[in-house]
Amino acid sequence: MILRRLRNWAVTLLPILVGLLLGLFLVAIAGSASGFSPSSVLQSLWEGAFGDQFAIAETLVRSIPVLMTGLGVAVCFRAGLWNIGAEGQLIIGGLSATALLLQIPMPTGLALLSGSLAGAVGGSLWALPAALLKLRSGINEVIVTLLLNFVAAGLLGFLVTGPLMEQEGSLPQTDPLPETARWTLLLLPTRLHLGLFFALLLALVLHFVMEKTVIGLDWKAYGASPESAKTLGIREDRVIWSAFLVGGALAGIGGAMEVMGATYRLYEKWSPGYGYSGIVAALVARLNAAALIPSSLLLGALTAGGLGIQRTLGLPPTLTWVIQACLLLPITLRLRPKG
Amino acid sequence: MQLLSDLLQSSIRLASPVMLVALGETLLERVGLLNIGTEGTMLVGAFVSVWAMVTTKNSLLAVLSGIGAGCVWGFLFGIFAVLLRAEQVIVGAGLNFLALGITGGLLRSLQGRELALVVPLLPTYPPLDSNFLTYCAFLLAPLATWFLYRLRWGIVLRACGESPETMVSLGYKVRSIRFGVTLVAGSLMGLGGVALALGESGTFIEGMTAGQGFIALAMVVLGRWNPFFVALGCWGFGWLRAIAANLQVVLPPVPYHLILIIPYLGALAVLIVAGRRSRSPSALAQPF
Repeated sequence: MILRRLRNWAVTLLPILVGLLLGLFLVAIAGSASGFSPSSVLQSLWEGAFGDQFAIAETLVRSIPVLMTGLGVAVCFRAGLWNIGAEGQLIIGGLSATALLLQIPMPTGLALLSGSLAGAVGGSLWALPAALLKLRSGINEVIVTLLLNFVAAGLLGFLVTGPLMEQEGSLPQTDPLPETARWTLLLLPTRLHLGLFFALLLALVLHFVMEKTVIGLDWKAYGASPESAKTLGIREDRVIWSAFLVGGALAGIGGAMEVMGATYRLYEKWSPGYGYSGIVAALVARLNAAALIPSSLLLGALTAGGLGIQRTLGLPPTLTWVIQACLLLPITLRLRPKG
Repeated sequence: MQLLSDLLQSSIRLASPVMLVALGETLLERVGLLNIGTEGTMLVGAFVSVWAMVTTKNSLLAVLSGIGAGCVWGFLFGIFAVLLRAEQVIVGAGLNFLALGITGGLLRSLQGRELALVVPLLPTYPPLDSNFLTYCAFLLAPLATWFLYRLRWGIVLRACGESPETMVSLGYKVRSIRFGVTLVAGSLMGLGGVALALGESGTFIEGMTAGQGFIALAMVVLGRWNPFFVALGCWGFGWLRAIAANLQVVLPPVPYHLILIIPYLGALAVLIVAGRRSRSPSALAQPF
């Protein structure tokens, strides 16, 4: 019994460990191609993620949007729907929340609530075309969600240089959100904010929904085999609509939380690819909402570490995508599609 | 009139990278494989060709190494998707991430202290004033259609994407055929990256493909998996980009970012219109 459990753990963790080590190895090599010793690259990666109080806080802050997009991705992937659009849904969520909170002044509690709601609505709207086109015309959701990511990024660029650009000054960014529309900071002077606990709560709620409720079971059944799910009387349209809307809403809330908790304003290239890291996190967690908590922490650490190597060595943070890819690829082997 | 001929010329030039990538993806999807790693494969092709151009100053070597890099990415896709039967969408996504990270990370070592790497563009030839990669793209499209629909091997290839089980029972080595096609397709996608870097921009910038690999995916659906029509769709996309680029000159008030999203919105719009009646290869993205 204990042995079997140990074996299960090993089977789960081994590909992650192998991927991580391979990724770190490749990054160290790439760093040495730019003239830095492998150990200095790994050290600044580590210090960026866990070096001091600031670094740890930064890791936590950056794992929040990864967790939220990861939850959204996990819901859709569970249902066998390849939603690659969490990045776009996150951006639109952030945009909706910012647009609302800059227009209408609200007291703190109401502002946080309505900002999150606006994010959820925006994210859902951005996921809606994928569901609609898949159901109506049988168009592959992968292409639709991918293309919408680029539309969202362009829209963000347009709004922060045009309609939403700051009133004073001429930088391509929005005005900062009012104090009342920000999550409480927990550990001054770091950026750690109360939104972290909101995200954790949502992860636990999602875990319950995905494992213990009828709709969660429907997603799972449809993802495992659409044909047998339909035979069992599960309605295909309901599965597809609910998965995309819930998935989009979660990513959108993530965007709202990032702007209300960490950046306070939007600018071009505001998201360093949280939505894509969310995909990696969701798969590392094997689409389990509770397991997403540690896995998004890992991805958050990589994001923070990437900024570390940029700060101390001047290497591009893009380099950490090598590690994320190495984490992702071994997992695909356990993930056999339905056939 | 001058504007029209300018537009025609730039549409041809701007279409060729996407066209090469889309042709590769068409072949791949015809044998039943869905590779969304188009963007990353393009990116490594572009990066390696610029690298080779900087180090050897030889354009033929540069083009060949770009093709080789694409082929390596195709090989990786083949290992995971064909040999190990992994989920194709996720493998493709992983290969995109890997390409983005490696090219972005190595760019610095290549650049040294320079702000931008500038390499000479490939020479152009009349009558279209285009480089040979563009001619390649426009010639390959009808050739590929002829191959797929008229030649025995083309029909075998398509059958592998429709009913691999039948092909196995007929004695064909479906998985070897599929693996072979991933190499060819990867090379074409790498060539698309070369066309972008050495034919269009003359430099490498982190993430320079900017979603063009994904546009190619949409074009495959739009062209209903027929290389000729896929290429026509890509040419249409070239027109869209050419017009968008000129819009910026003619109508300066149109914000830059809105012009940037025109191609993506355009691709989505044509998907909505054309996707309705299209039928993908039956065994697409199914493991075998």
